[in-house]
Amino acid sequence: MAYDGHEADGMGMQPTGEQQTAIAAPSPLYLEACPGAGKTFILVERHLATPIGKQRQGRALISFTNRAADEIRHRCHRPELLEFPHFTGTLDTFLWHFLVRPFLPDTAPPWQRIMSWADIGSSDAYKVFGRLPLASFGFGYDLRRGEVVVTLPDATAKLTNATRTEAEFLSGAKALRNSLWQQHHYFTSLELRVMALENATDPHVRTILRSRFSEIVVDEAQDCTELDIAILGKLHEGGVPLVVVADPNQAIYEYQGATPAVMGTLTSKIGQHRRLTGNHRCSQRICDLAATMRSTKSAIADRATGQWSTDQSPVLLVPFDTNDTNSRKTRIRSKDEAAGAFARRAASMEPACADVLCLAWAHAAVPHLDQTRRSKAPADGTAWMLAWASAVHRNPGADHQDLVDGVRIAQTILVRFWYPNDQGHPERILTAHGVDAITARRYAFSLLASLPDVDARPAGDWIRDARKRIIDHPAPSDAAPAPARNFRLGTGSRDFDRGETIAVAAGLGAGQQQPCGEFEDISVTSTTIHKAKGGEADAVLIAFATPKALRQFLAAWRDDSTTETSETLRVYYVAVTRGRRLIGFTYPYSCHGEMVKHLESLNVEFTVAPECEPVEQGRRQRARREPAGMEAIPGLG
Amino acid sequence: MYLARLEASGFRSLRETRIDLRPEVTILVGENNGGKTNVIDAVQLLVDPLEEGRARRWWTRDDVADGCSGPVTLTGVYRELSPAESGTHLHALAPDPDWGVKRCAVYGVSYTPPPSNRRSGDRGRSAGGREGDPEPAARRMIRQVYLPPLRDAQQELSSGAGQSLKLILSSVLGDEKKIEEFEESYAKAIQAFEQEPPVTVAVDRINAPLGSLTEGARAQAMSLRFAEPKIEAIARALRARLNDEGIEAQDITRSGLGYANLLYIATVLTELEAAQEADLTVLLVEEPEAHLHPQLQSLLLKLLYDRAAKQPSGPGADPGRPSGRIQVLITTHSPVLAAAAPVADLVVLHARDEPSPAQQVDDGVQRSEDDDQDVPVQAAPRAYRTTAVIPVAALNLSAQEKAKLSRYLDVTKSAMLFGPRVILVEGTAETLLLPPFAEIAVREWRPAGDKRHVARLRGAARSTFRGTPIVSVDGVDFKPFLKILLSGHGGERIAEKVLVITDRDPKRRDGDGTATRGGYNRKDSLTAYLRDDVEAPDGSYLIVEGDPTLEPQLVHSENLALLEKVFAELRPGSAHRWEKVAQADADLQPLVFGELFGPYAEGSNGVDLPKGEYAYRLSALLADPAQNFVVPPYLAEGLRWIMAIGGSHGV
Repeated sequence: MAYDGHEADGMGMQPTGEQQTAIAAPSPLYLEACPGAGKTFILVERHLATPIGKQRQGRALISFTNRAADEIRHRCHRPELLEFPHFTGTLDTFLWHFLVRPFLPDTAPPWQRIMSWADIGSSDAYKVFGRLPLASFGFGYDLRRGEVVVTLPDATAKLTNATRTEAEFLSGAKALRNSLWQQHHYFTSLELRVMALENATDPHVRTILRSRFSEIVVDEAQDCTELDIAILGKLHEGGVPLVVVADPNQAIYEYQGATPAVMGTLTSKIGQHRRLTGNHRCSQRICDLAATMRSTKSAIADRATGQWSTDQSPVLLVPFDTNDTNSRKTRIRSKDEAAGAFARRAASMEPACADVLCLAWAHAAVPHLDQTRRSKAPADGTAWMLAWASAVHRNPGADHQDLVDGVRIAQTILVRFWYPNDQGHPERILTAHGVDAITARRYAFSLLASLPDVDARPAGDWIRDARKRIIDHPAPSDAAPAPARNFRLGTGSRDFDRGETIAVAAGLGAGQQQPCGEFEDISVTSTTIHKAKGGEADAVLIAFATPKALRQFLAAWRDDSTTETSETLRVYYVAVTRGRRLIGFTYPYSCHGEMVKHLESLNVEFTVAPECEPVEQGRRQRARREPAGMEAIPGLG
Repeated sequence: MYLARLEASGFRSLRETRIDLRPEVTILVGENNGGKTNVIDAVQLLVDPLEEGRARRWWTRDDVADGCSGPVTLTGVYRELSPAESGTHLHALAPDPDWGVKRCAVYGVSYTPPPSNRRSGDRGRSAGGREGDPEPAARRMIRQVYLPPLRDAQQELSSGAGQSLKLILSSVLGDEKKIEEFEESYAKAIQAFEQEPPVTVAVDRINAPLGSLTEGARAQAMSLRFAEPKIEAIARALRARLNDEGIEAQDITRSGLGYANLLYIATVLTELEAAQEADLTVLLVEEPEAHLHPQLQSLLLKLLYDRAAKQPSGPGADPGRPSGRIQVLITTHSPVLAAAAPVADLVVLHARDEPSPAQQVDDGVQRSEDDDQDVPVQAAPRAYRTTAVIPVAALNLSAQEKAKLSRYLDVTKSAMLFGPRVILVEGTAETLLLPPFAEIAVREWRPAGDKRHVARLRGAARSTFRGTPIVSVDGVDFKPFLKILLSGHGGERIAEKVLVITDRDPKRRDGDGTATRGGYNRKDSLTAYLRDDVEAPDGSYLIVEGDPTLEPQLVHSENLALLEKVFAELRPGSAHRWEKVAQADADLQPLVFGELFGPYAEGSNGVDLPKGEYAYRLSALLADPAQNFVVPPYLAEGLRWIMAIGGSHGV
């Protein structure tokens, strides 16, 4: 998957008229950009217009993901523009560095950022009334009342036989969280934002920001939560020049409270609006298809202006049929086989496609060509987490963030074993014992290296060996582990059969298959739609694992009037607009008729993959003789 | 872990350069200006110094290679990390660029020179190929110590030794408590001295006038004490002294520079051992040959090898402690050091001039070689000096070839690693005769142009020859030498031109001594080897062959008188033997002359004439410029080629 590849090629690319206007427009500015509008190009060009020489004021370029921030850094060929006084990074980092950290009271203990309340452990001190860990509660922020709201999902089950009421638990959770925040100085991204919001209303803070930044650019603003928008709104009110870049049609975090309506509360206050409708990425056909998926149906399609604007490839349908009986309808038997058929088509186009994206909403539904898929760390059960960490550590091609997570898992397990009586975040415990982060990682990494292989051995055996390695592992001199017999590796809520292999139990799949050499010339990436955001590829395959998933999509496509359906449609709008030349859909064959009917009703041209033509009797028999192992590759847990 | 690779882009003469280093000791050899110091500078910029207060290399505007606008980037790839080291350098981990099946750690630094209106440039750092450095403390687990060339060891030892000695003493003593006890016993010992009469009398004498001066105001008195009995002061008070065995030790400032240097290096090594604070310490030793005679150079090299091989942490080590590895990087132009090291640890650097890209565009088509030389030469094209890197370990030498070369490359032969041209010969006779022959070839060369121009060209040709080492392989085993000189690494070769002077093997006799077989054609065999196995480019080598050997080829009607003179000096009683040569038919003369070098035997003309001695005396006579001599054609051809002097003349 390339990141806005065409623009990256064209270092010396000339901006089009509308792009030029956007580059030169003064702030405050709201820039509505259609897919492929060259958003990153415009932001970088705008930044490159900064005069040569030391500047006192800088520009903040705020992206939604680290990856998008890296892309900006990569494209900006004046390195001094990436350093002080400028800022490039995520909103979280920006808020922490410029709206929270400078204004924190200088009191011990030092402030500790945590990803979630689960990070500080679940000893009794961190449970509400000694019963429920803080992580089982949900926390939000009510802007109108200006206070934190606590919820308890699945309350009835969690409070069976409890002596206190739900309301008491909720206020208990609120009090515990307040004390962890105010006295112990732990904070999650919610507390960070609450503090940022408070400071953003302070005239003193606004003056400092106005003085430091000549402009604050927020990319992908449609994905900002209500709280984020409120903070930005306060900054705008305080005269901090904002450039808000967004595509309301690509808002895909509605479930976190990011809706076009919320964003509208900010953009309506910004006087100057510019709209970019030239799509440099997709073919006109794909632009037209995408237009049928917009929430405002009346909107005309974007103008395709890029290299592939005249590509005529119709939509490719690759339905699959998991039935292994004589009644099977197509030779494609799984979404993974569909990915293969799709990649073959992309490779045979003239000229051949260079890259393919296989997308699905849910992680488990993403089609894969081979075993290069990424697995996610198990959510509970220290044994499974450790096995996952160990497997990641043994894979040199593993994602770097996975490796960092894996080391953190091993470190946490060691800390809980070495210092069973200490409470709080593992890093804080280590610091209290004089073990710095670097030394702590030495112990953690060498533990991972000493663990048995995560392979086909029974999970029970692996856990027994791993436990012994942890007990025998060298420890800092002041470690005071509880008696070894009291130490166990948890298996969480998962029921497992002791004979089950550790690889399967840790969610790593049955075994490793070598990727076949067939697709060497074409780069195939499999990921979720949310993660593919900002990326693009010549050919994009969108997968629906179940009839239900496809029917929800088709329903939303027909009518997006409710909040839920409009979000569904926007997610698939993002998926379709990643493609430059070819769009494909794969779904269970049972819904093939509905799909065909819908596309016909929209006058969208399509073809069905030749592999999906009805199977003849003779072929079917031959197909049946293929080894059963080829049937389906198990999805990842 | 060790620094396995250094990549530089736009840094001085390292324009786009990758240097693979050895896990323990790497020896960078090469001519002056070859870029050795730039490699050392790059490591100094890439890796933090061991401690504060050590001389430190900073970026300067001059670090940007000519014609580059920056940024300059330097990248270090570290391999073979232990699990504990991987933990420390977590944020720098990346898949190995060569072997995807392994992980390595990658740290980088970059520098953008300031635009003309600013005074300071921008410095950047990266870890794991990702921009920025989330954890500078992890990077500092890799350190460097730089030992500059021609350092003033006496000065450093007498002033800076306190710090090193303190570390060594502390490590000998062990923990804080032991140090306190040591300080106490020192304090007790010196307290006694403070009560000795000379001290107390001195105090009284000073206090008398001081009292009368100050009693009108606030009365003052003084006392005398030795310095605070702290370990720093003790270390400072100790003096390094060097003694030769049996001779009274003398203060370091009065000892020779060379030994002072050795003491200094020994102190640094002990200090490194004492202060195991880093995972890896890269010891950068620049030109250690300064001040050291050859035996000491070899001994120093052995010490550095021993120290680098002694890697402390084993599998049972505490992962919480730094590994304390030492890797040594030496630059030298001493053939002694090049000869003493295993050949695989050598990295040869040489300078290459690369036309600037702008120049290539300006010039358009390449001029053909046949162009008349009289055409006025245009302003010399501006060229960029770049460093070519040839790690011997990357030359695909077999284990046997490496072993052979490590043995073959003595001090004299190692000279071939330093320059762009080499002449390989079989033995002493060629070594002795080539210089006068080259002089004759130059004298007989008739380039076009006026007298002064010709004189200048001839001077240049003579310098070219003098700058070309003549390496005697002492036999006929040319192949390992050719392989190391001409097999390429990334398009670069140690030698640009290699001249091989060999003999067609004499015909071999079969068992019964009658039947003969055709001579083995060494020239063809070597040519095929260079073309097919070494893949040396055409024009990088020339093989000339004496048929059957050098001595018969010396025979020429104009040379006979001189050859006879030398013969008569060596075998004054054998004039009748020379008669046979003189009487022989012209075409048989060389053979008969050649026989003189054979053993005394029935029916042969052999008088066991020593080849070396004969060549020596002949070359001595040829030193007279008035002496005429016709150089054997195959040697003349080879010499003209290596000196790049064209044109033909009667031989």
